[in-house]
Amino acid sequence: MSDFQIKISNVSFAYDGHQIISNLSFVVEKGDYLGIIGPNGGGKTTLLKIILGLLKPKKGEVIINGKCGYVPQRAAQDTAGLPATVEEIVASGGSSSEKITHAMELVGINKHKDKLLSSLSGGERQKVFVAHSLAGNPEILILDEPSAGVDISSQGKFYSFLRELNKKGITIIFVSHDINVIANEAKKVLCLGGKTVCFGTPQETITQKNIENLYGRSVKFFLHQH
Amino acid sequence: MDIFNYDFMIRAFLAGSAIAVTAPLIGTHLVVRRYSLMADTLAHISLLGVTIGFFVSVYPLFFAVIVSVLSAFLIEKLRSTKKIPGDALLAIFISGSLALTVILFSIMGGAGMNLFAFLFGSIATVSLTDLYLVFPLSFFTVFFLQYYKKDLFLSSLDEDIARVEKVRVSFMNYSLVVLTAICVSLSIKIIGALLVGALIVIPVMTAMNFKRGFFSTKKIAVLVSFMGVTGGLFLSYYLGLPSGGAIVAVLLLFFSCSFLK
Repeated sequence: MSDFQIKISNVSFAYDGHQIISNLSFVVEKGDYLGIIGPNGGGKTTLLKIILGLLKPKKGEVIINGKCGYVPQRAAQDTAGLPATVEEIVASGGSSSEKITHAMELVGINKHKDKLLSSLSGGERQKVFVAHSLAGNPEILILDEPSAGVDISSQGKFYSFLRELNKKGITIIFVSHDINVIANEAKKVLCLGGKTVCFGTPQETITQKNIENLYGRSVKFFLHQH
Repeated sequence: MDIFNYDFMIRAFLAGSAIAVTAPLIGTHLVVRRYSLMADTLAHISLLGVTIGFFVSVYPLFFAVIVSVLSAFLIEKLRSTKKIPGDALLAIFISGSLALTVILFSIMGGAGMNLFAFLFGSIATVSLTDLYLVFPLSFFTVFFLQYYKKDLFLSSLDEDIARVEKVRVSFMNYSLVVLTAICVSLSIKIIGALLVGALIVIPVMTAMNFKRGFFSTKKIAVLVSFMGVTGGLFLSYYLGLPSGGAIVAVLLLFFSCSFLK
């Protein structure tokens, strides 16, 4: 039996006649920690939605082995005014009270379970949505811009928390605009932007040449040696 | 109390109680989705349905339910295409239905229709036939909202998350607007087309000021709505006020007090 969790083969997607993704192919293995970077309109969110089955590719094949959990872009910000407690939001993702409690403990928000979502910080709200996904026992966790709207100190804690989840065997795919976050957090990187596509380890993919091709200019980044 | 010596008051209290429970239960979902104006839009459309009923001499409330349910489907269909901005879409339906109502009303020369009662509510107009329609439909609404409470909550939280978790989001969205259409049509006699939106929104906003969870907010909203409707009906009877105006005045008082807690 193959150990891949996601297999994307020759996937293309166009919106309103504008080609966003062309013949994209890559494989995500079990336990991978994949970061996706690229310019605005490069197809990052579109790709996540194709993987999740929210959008159908015009061409190509997507095979998913395992249950996906999803934390959408700005979910924590857009729902800040929702009159719902942390426990209600986590519980809506799970089927048993054990799974719900376990998910809140894993994420470290059990002490906030009776609080309203609006009373939490951006980073804590983001964790509530991760706990919601984890309550459904996913094998793959997909996050779109998880640190958008989160302050720098909370960002660091949030990514170290994602690293811990990955060590527990959950495959993680996340999109970020921050090249330094991708370079230093992800085990594998997918660069996605028009005709520029690269896939591999951060050392292989995050090069000055690839970044210039992606963004049309040079960007300073610091690549940590794993 | 002499108020309960009159059959029309007992009918008004029974219908009002059923509506007081269903309106905020639906309203909680509409408010968190920022779709509160949907209730007002469907109320104006219900008024058109009532007028058509008078025009063709068929039970008006039945026509109000049919016309508003069909319109709710159409609004949701157009909204889901995202080709027309949501607020503009509702504005078109509000003014369009009101225009058709005025034209029909003018053509039929009134035809025995008390337009004022349907605009602002009248306790004397609730009939036994209305109760036969109000109770089963209210019961069905409460049952549906309870049965699908998790799916509706997820759809209100985030549609993409809900879809990933295999919730039939379109079915939930269509169901919610259809239930709103039914609730609004049934409320029109008691509270009036121009004021029915208040019954759907104000109890929820009042409950939200208590800063509880989603399901507690629903319970508080039902309690506020029930007290508002019964209090308003008492005021209407004893002070000779239009029931819709009296109910909304009581609800606004509760809403103001909720800031003091």
